[in-house]
Amino acid sequence: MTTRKLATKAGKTLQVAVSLARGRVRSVSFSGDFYLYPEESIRELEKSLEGIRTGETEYEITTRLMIAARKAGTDMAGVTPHEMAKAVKKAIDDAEGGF
Amino acid sequence: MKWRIISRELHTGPTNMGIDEALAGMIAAEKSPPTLRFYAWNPPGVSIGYFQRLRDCVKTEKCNKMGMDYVRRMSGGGTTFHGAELAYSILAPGYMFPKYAEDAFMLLCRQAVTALASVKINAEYMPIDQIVCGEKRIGWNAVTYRGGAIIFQGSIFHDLDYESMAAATGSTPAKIREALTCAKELSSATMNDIEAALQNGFIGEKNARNGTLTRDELRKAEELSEKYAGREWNFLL
Repeated sequence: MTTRKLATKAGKTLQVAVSLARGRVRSVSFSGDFYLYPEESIRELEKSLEGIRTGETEYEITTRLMIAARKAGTDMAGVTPHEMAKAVKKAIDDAEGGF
Repeated sequence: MKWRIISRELHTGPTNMGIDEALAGMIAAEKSPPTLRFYAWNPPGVSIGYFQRLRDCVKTEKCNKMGMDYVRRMSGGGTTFHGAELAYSILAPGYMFPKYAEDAFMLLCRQAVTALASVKINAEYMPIDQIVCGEKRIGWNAVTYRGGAIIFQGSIFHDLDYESMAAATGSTPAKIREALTCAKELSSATMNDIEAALQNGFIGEKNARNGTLTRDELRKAEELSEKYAGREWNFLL
């Protein structure tokens, strides 16, 4: 499990924990002091990244999160899908040795 | 629609959270009226946002030793201390308030700022969820939407126990002093003065009456408070 912390533009803290297996993302977990509702729908965002290739770009991850948020009717404040994707990408890079 | 105002009551942290969830559900089901309630935590405690990890934010063993509650809220946002404060919850059908959290914060925090000015506390709204005096926060706010109801929770600190806050959160009294202030340090306003001002700020000319929780609301709140007192909810993340 690799974690990454990021300060969002709105002044909130976003932390992500990712675990990888055989070149793919096995699990993703977001935490922090942001707002996202319905709160339970954060699982839909996390699940949308399970199984993706670790080589996906920040842009591709952002798109996946945006689609998942739209499907789940998720709204957020203090954090954006792009910031979430950025943190995930950095955690993946850290887990793979950093580059 | 007639608002109900519930004057300051003391409850444990889990009961306060249970009351808010119970009222939100009953308001969404049109069984309870929109409500502004004032309260405090007894014993004092710490609450964390829905997406925060208790282990990262709260020194639970220290809290246990000091007899303090710790609870994960149903709303997002950060960690806050609940001691000598005037806490408030606005619970209402969602359609009565802005649809998005940022807009709800702007509306309600600005109303609180106007209310504080009436008791000679010069505060400002700082997006997205803060009310500050100078550069220090004088309270906390959080919002969520549940089943068609809005739940806006917050408080104005009346007095601050910097040592207990530091011990409960693993910080230092000096760091907390840099970040927070309280009404007692800025004005002679009593808790009752602030309650009256906030009531006026939030409700204003709206149709309102003073009230209490009904037996059904209390029963539901007690059921839900067990969840908020339990490990499964608080240590979920």
